[in-house]
Amino acid sequence: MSLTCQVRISLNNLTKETAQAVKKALDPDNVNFPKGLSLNVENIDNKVVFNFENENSMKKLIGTIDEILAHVQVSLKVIG
Amino acid sequence: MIGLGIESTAHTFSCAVIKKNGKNGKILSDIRKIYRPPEGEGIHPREASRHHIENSSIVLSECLQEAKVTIKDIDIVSYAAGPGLGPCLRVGAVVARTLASYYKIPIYPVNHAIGHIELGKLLTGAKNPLVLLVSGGHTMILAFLNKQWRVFGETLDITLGQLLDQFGRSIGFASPCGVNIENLASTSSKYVPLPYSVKGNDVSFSGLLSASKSIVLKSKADACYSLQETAFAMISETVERALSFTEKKELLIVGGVAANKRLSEMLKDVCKRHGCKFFVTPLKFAGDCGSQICWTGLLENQIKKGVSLEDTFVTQSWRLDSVTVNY
Repeated sequence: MSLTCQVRISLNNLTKETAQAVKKALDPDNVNFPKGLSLNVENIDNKVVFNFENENSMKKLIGTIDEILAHVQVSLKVIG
Repeated sequence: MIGLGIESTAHTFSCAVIKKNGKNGKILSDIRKIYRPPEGEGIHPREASRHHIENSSIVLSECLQEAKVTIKDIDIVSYAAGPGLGPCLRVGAVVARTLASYYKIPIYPVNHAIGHIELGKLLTGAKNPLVLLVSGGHTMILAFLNKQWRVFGETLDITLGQLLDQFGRSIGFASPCGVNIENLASTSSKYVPLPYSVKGNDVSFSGLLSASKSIVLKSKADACYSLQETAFAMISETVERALSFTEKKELLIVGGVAANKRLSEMLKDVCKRHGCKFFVTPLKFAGDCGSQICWTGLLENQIKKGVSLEDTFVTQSWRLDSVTVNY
């Protein structure tokens, strides 16, 4: 049985500049995902929205979400 | 011109601020936090990156505070883009990109190994040296020719730093083990024959590692002494051959293992025989640090205006002999 999982994470209430900085800080590393895993990041005004989609391995999806959110945390702390 | 450099290739997360004036650089601050794996264990990339994630903003603010500058005083930001551990490299890159994007600061990806060399040259005053780069990630003999660092010998398997760390961990030391091995080795003078493997002008340490582990039961001190003497003699032989071939009149040691006094002692003898000046990076800056990244970024700033954020890559295996140096 194949399983497809979609996860949408939205970071709200940022300033427009912060939202843009977070997206630009993370974008260059969002390449070469394992087969079946994809990530689309949108910058909508004062929000950053992460759309994850994955087929089969949940472990890969959880690991990727974990790393992306850790990087978001780093980015937000650096801006202060 | 004031630069901020961010280092995060392996166990060290470091930020440094350097003020550049012409060809001179003054280190205003260099703050580090180092991930320490449990005794007997090696570095785990994910755990090290967790360490960097938790400490990055603290290190950055301490660094700016010590340099007595604010982020608005920073003219360029540079970061270690490789070679190194992927999860660790990405943390430093995220910090640099965030600052570059939010505060509109030019950004420079820097090769970590070239950073060691450039900082070594800045701090010692060496002009055109043969370089011995010895660390946990590298064992290379290098000379600069036609805008590139050329390799005149390197390890065929593990690095000198890995040899010391893997052996040290096997006898219960915590990484990095170089200082503990050096201290224990200094209590012995009994040499136990071990495999000596120089092929062409390259070295191989894996057989030496296995053999050293097999003699450790008799005496840890003798094993440490014999390991150091054998490994450093191999390095000295290859350095001497490279000095003869290149006819360089300066030798510079850079990288974490540059801190080892016995290695320096043996290489000083080599230099005497060749009428060559001997330089070693000061202990505080021999290991991984933000200064090496910051200074190299400032040098690159002399010839280019940074790169666009889309091109701020990280590359785990970015060889220094593939980098064109134009400054």
